[in-house]
Amino acid sequence: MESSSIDVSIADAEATRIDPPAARRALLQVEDLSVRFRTRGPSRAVVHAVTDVSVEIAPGETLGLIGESGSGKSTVARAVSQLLRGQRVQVTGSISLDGVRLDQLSKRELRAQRHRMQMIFQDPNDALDPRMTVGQSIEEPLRILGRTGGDQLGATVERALDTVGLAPAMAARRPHELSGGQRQRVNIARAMALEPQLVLCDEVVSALDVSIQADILNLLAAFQRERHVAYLFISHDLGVVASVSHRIGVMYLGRLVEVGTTSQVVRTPRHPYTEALLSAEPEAVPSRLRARTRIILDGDIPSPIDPPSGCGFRTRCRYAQDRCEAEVPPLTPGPDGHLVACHFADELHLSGRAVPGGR
Amino acid sequence: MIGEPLLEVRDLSITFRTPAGVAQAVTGSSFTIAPGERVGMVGESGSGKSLTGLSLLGLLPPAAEVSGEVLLDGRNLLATPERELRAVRGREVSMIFQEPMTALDPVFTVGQQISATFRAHRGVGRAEAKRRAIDLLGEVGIPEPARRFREYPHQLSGGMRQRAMIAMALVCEPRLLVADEPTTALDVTIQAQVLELIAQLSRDRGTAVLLITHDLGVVAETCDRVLTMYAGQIVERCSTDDALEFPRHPYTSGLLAAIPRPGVAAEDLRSIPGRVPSPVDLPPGCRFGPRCDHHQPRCDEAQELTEAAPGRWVRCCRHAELDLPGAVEMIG
Repeated sequence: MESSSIDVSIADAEATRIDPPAARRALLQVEDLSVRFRTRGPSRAVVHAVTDVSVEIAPGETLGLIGESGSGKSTVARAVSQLLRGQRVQVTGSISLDGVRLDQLSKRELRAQRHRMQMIFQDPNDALDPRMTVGQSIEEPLRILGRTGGDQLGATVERALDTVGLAPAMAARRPHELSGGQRQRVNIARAMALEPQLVLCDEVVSALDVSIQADILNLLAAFQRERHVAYLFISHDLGVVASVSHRIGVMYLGRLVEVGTTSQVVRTPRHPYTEALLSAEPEAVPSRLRARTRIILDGDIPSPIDPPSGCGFRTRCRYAQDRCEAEVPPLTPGPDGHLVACHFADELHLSGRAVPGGR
Repeated sequence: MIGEPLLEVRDLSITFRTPAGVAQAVTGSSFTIAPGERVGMVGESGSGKSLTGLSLLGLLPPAAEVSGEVLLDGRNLLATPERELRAVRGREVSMIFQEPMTALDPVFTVGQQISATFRAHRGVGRAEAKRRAIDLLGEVGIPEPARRFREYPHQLSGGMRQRAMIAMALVCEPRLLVADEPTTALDVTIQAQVLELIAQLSRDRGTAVLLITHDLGVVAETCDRVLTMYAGQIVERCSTDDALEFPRHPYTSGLLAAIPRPGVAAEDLRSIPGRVPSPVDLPPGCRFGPRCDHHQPRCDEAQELTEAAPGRWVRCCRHAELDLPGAVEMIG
């Protein structure tokens, strides 16, 4: 892992205590992140899970990551949270949180930083210990951080439950006594009790019924308003991502293929994969508002063990030309800062979703 | 344009005895599906939609107590002996599920399973069954069908397994296809392929489809009509466009306001307060009443599904006076 010029500029900003006026300093800065796994079994194949991903998240901002299975979006979150330190995985690139290079910290040093960054997962059951009461689950990380003060801990738990709209009596319950929505609230309470600056949300509403989903999304939005917390929000659901995110990154086969404001990506996509994704996402609107021809992509997503040469999407892209097979298109900014990795982005006229308002 | 119904469900109720009391999983469901028609059944977990689907094939768990009629071409499947039902399943009515591995056997090749089904129902020879199976794998969009015929389910991708299951469900050209969350586990671009395939089958072959899903978007893209289920009852039954644009039941309207969509900020999504009632302890009146913004004392009496306009049925005594927001209001 090489030290880049970014670190120097952060150090400068820190020394003078002024943020660069043009670009507000990022809370999270991911530079050239690549993640490779080696599979088990005789083939010992290399899985290119994430390749050259660079993203930034400002304080209080939500960056949504959208993509299908094998796109690498969850792997990005795991790499950011330093959960990928193992033998069969190779992580390169730099990950800085508020100027601290997380990838260079020892496990012990990392533990001291943990409270600044929390993660919430899809399955609320996985994250809660079935033997512990809700109160104990919320207390545990606070105790590890030494934020305990005898009986005042009970008050902290009560306050944490209150922030997610759960009654104090819930503290005595065990996970199996709660509904899916309540369990996800407990997970949020547990994460937020540590007052993190960044929360990584991986498919946090995917397992929930739609009316409960809305509840949880409301709650996350309220936390952001009140505490200025930043989110890296990962979901396969375009509607969910668009409703919470200021900016959206689209991933395909381990690479970021497009990054822009939510409105840019949804209304005026610049990558053919984004266009297809927007077109495929079912819309709960009457047919008179759905007067569009759907783009049905052929075939499956290629294997990250043996990705196609050049552009990863070219095997399913209806605009592909010879150049797409030969060269990997770099992620390049357009005039309005809208990034796209497509050789023909300036020539294509892609259709997005006609949406009113938006973020 | 809708001809004689192929399927007519009359007053279907499904209950279970539990230690806590009688669980009313489905209560008084009535609906029809015509040949070539695609009907969506939408609702959240525990609304009774999957049990309704299973009842159409006589596949309810033994503990279930069922009443009412499930008429397929006038023949009541609920009164048909199991031995005769076996001939109906696969040949007349087929079902596909969210998880293809519930239907595909991991120890047989995809081809063996499809051709065995065909031979069992049609009594054709091995070679004929094989040819038919390969044709069908090609028809559902599986590339290199002759090669895939010899492969085991685990060798296929998720989307291809789903297609293989659909091929198996279609091998005998059933007249009714019950699809329970058929695309929920699939990626969105693969979902689009599978939904297109289902729509095409019903158009080309006149297959009637009951599509069970939690996703109103999937219904909107695929179905002519929709049945909205809440706590075991159909609360609204109408054309898909009517449900989306002018919902007459507060629950349908509530679902539409809760769906996250581009252009609607997370803080503006409206959740439905409270929780689905327990099937052993249902409210005596409107089952949605305790969660409804429009609740009045007369809602505490049992609600009937009534015809509000031609083809438009609602289980809400206030339907005529309420002006409920639909999808168009949500997107501004």
